[in-house]
Amino acid sequence: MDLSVLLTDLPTLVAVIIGVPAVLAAYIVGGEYLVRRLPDKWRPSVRPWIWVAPALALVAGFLVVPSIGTVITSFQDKHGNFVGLQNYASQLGGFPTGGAWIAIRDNLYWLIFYTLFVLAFGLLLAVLFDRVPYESVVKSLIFMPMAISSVATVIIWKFMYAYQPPGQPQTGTLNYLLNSVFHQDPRTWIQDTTPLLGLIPINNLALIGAAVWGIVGFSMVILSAALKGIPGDLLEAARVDGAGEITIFRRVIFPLMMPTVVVVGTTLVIFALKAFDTVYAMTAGNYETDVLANRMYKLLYFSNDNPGASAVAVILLVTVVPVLIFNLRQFRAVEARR
Amino acid sequence: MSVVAASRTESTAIRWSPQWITDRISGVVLNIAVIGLTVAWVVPTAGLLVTSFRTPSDIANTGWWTALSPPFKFTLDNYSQMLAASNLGTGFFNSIMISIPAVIIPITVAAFAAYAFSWMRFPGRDWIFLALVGLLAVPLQLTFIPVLSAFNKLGITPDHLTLMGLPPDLGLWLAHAGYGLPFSIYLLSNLFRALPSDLFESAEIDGAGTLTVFFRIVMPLSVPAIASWHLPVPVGLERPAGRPHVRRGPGKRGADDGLPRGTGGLIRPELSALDGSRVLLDDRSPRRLPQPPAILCTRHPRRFCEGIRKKWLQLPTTML
Repeated sequence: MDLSVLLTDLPTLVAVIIGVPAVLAAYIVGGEYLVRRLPDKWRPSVRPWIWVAPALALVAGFLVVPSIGTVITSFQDKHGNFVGLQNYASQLGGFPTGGAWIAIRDNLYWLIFYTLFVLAFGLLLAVLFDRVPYESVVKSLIFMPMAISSVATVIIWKFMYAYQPPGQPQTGTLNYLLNSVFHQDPRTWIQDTTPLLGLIPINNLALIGAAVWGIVGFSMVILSAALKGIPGDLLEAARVDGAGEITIFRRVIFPLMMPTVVVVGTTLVIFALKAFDTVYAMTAGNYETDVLANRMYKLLYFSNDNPGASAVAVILLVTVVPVLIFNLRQFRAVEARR
Repeated sequence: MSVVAASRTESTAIRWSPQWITDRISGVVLNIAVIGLTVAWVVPTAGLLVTSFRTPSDIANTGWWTALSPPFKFTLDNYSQMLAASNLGTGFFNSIMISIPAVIIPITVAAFAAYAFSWMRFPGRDWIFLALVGLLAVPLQLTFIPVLSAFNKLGITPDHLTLMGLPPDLGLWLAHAGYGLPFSIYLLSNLFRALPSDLFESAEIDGAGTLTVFFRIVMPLSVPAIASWHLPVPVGLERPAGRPHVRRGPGKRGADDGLPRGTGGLIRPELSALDGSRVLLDDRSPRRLPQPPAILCTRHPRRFCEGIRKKWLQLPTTML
């Protein structure tokens, strides 16, 4: 390994590590200094803006203004002339397989199955692990994939899904199990578009499976924390009244965990709509596994089609709007109770 | 702790009674289920670990599990090849250069704003805060195109920044900060608001100024939560792999040089022997310096897991 670059650039690194916090501290100390020079009655109305200004500037500069810019671009052609809904027509024409429809369909698969699997596994693991004495060990093991970047997760799962023609020794774990335990022909997991049980193409499920594996630790930890927050007396009382464990789960534990499940669920819905890395690294959107975010990326970099990419991004935003409204309403309801 | 104890069912039935036998059986089933699920979860990672010690021809011809039985033919070649690759040092350096400021800037800026949102009064405060919360759900992809073209137009490219005597990664730092802010402000506001107001009142009586309160009371009290902050950040906001790529455009010198996600290496259908060792060597990808929360959880269980727990437990009472 060539470590010389680390040594030659060490001063830069030190400068950055010291300089960045120094600039930030200087800003706030300088701001306060100026506020104190102001007449008494102005201070309370100026001070808050000094404190929020950098945050608002960054958010405006990187989120608000660019988003508006994208919306505008989506109504223009490549030369900046207004073309109305033409970009949307080219993305949304050709239903059911043309334009962006495959990506929309697959985003829908992600939305349903990813959210469902992550919640279900998270809840199952949280409840089961709560009942064994070696809880922290198994929890750490399940949580481990969270420390692996999503592209590395894809590499791991490419080994799991690896395919060799029938008759040859299988190198993929899943195909090996399929072949030797269930005596079936190996499958090309990430290319096979056959629907499983008529519901979802196998390759989409394979991609979602890899992503689920990586994120379940997150929902497990949060749901497990919520589970531990349920008062023991309640469970005790239910047991004294003769309720079985399953009834207790359905009637006591689950309703009390509902708010947490909703929060984790909405987070996961947003993750699902934004799904990108797994698809990008595993299939690059081939074999009908495209999702909106990846389609946007492809239009942007491989087709140099900024207006088309913008239209796809706006379509993605539109799908997020219901979640956004739901989140804001939840938030305001809770704020009202404070 | 009584909570945990009470939720475990201890069999109180008499030995060998039908009740005792059912309890025993369900106990065994439970343990089998728990261990079975955990093992299933670990298999993919274990497979990768074993693969990283095998020769390319072995990987291409036999499954990783065959390596676990004699004759053992493990090798360190994959690792030595990866370590010899000349751009790995640059990759590490870029990772550090980008991730440290990309973590420090949003935390500090968010802490300033969160302090104002929770302990200062100003017109439009609640509406601005609500708008920030709403921005949490906006797909980042929506912003990539204008940000990229604005960067090019304003000359915020590594080469140009170096010419002006500014840090070459400034654009990346600011972009990371901007994207991460809504979440961090939301998180820290909740935290700051939960601090008792007596603290602020007595500080004021003692004549402490805003800065003193912020640096001497608010920040120290929030350190455990801020320390564990890096967990939800990679989870929620730092996951998209496309970002540095998008910001710099493909092919430019990037944080990813020498890191495991060059397009060419990953998309080709056959697996290279090096892939395995690459993941293990530098899976801490550029934007996630304080990477392995799982390890932190095991090594400093109380501090980090409590931090995570407390933070996320607030969510049900507020929202995402």
